Amino acid sequence: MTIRVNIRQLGKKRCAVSAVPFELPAQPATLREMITMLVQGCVSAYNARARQGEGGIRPMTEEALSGLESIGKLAFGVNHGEKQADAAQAVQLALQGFEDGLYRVFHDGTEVTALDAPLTLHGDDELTLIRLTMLAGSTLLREVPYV
Amino acid sequence: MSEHDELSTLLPPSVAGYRGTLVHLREKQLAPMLDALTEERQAFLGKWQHGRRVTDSERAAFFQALCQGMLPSAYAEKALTWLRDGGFVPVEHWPVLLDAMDRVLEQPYAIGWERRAYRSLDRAAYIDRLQWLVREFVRDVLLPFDLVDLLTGHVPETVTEFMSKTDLHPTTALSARIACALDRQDAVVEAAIRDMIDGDGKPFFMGEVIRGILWSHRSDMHEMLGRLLVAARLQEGLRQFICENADMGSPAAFRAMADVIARNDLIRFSSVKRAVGVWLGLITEESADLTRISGKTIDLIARCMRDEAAVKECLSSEDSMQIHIGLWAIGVRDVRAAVECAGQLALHGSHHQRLTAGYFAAGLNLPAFEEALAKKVLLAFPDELDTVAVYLPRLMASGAVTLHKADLSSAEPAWRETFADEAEARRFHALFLSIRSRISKKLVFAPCVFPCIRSRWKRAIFPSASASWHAGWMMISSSMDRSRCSRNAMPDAGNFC
Repeated sequence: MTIRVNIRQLGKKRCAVSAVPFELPAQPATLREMITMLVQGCVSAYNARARQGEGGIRPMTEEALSGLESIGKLAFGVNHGEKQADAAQAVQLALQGFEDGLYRVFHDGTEVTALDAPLTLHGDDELTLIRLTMLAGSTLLREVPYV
Repeated sequence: MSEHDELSTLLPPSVAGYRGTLVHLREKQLAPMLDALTEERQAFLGKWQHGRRVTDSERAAFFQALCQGMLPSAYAEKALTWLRDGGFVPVEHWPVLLDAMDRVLEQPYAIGWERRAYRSLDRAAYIDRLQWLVREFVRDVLLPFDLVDLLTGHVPETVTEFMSKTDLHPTTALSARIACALDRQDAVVEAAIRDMIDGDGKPFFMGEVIRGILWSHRSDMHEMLGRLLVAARLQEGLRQFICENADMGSPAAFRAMADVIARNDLIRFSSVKRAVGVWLGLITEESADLTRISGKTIDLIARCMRDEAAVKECLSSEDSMQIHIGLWAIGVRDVRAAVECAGQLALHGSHHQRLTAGYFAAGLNLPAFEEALAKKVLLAFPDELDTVAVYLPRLMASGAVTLHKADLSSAEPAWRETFADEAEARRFHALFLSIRSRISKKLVFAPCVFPCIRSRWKRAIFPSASASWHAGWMMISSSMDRSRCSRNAMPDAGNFC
């Protein structure tokens, strides 16, 4: 099935968020399954790019160029690393990240808070993942070295 | 009304006209009181004498009493009552200061950025911390306020705002007051803290509250702090603060925090990794590789802090991390025992244990011990170049060592700072010539003890038979070199090693 995932698209303007279609191999019954499928898909794409190397470079359109200019980095998105990502480890990290509250998931505008609660997805449903930022300091805690 | 005018209304009329921060106002209050003291007492309280060195005889007397095994509080009652009678520490807070002085003895002896978690059974080792504590109490601007009022925010907003904006004011006294109140089962203070952490209460002075809990002996409060650590989630700053202070409290609090980290796998957060690395002395300004710290590390720490058998097991292994943590766990209880154990491993252990013991010894902030151990090891194992690489910088822990052939028999040679007599200096001179003859232009040991550590040498640093040799710590170009506290940070360190 295909769902739409809201992500910031490379090459678009800085804050532009657009729905990117993601093909899932099966109907996920829970958020855990859905995150697993999404991560596996992303890892496969990443590893494919790594294998392809510079052979995967495509000419840039004017629109893509101007979008990249606006974010301050012109790149073809080539993965020059030789190391392949480990899908199982990536899935584990993604699930741990959700449990730690590092990102939140919204299904058609409603937050999904439990990894194992039943999830009913239909084709073209919209999913939004928002990554949150760690609070490195606090006004409550003054950053003073202990004595 | 300006902020400064507003602040000045909080203080006695004698200084009400002063325009400055709370700290400056307190210093203004203290100035005439300090002037009335003898120079020795002024020096004890940190008043700098312009251009003149004043003998800190108050400190020396305190140090002597500690050397004789006197409790700091007993000494204060005997010889430091001028602090109370002279108004430097309010009468009502005098018992809290006494309590805090004795409490310090179960905390690490080192202070500053390069501190380690090591504790000492030798009370004299705590002279720096005790003197600091007294100064903090004297300079504290929050003592006039009731503790519960401070914790519940029932103090003028200017005070809480000032305290949250500035980081140059003393707050140790507030942590000591919290710890003392908790151990005395003060229900109101406890309720205020619980409301802050477990309830809906707005947090005030959270850093001091965390330190106060860690200083206390209340296992239930340690448990609550552990829950806060687990619940911190996105609050990396909070997690960092708790972990970086975990080793500075009571041993029970330290064990409790280590257990929480191990049980909940909190080592996955970089702030926790960094704090654990700093506990162990594995992360320094020069080497901040967090990959060395893992779940295995915190599991070993948690086990070794509770189980003597686990320590023995670690010390008999050939794994660098296990050996290091085994020695570290002993040092957390008593640094003297760790020093003896490191010496045994260095002289009678396997080759790898000897290297790891050398790495461990370098982080103790005990230059006298480092030098003594390095001399023994270098003379015993001159053929092991990697051992020489690890221990030679330790021989120079106190600075440059100069060995000159012509200088060996002069009246006041520079080597006297490092070597006991001419015979010893000549032995080391011969040893260095021998090492020089065995190495090429450059020598690199990588990895050295730990995977990310390497030791690099240049032949040029060693003396030739005819030329003079001046080898300083700065010439040993080695990533194993760590910055360290000066001798002053560990007064008379040779006393207990």
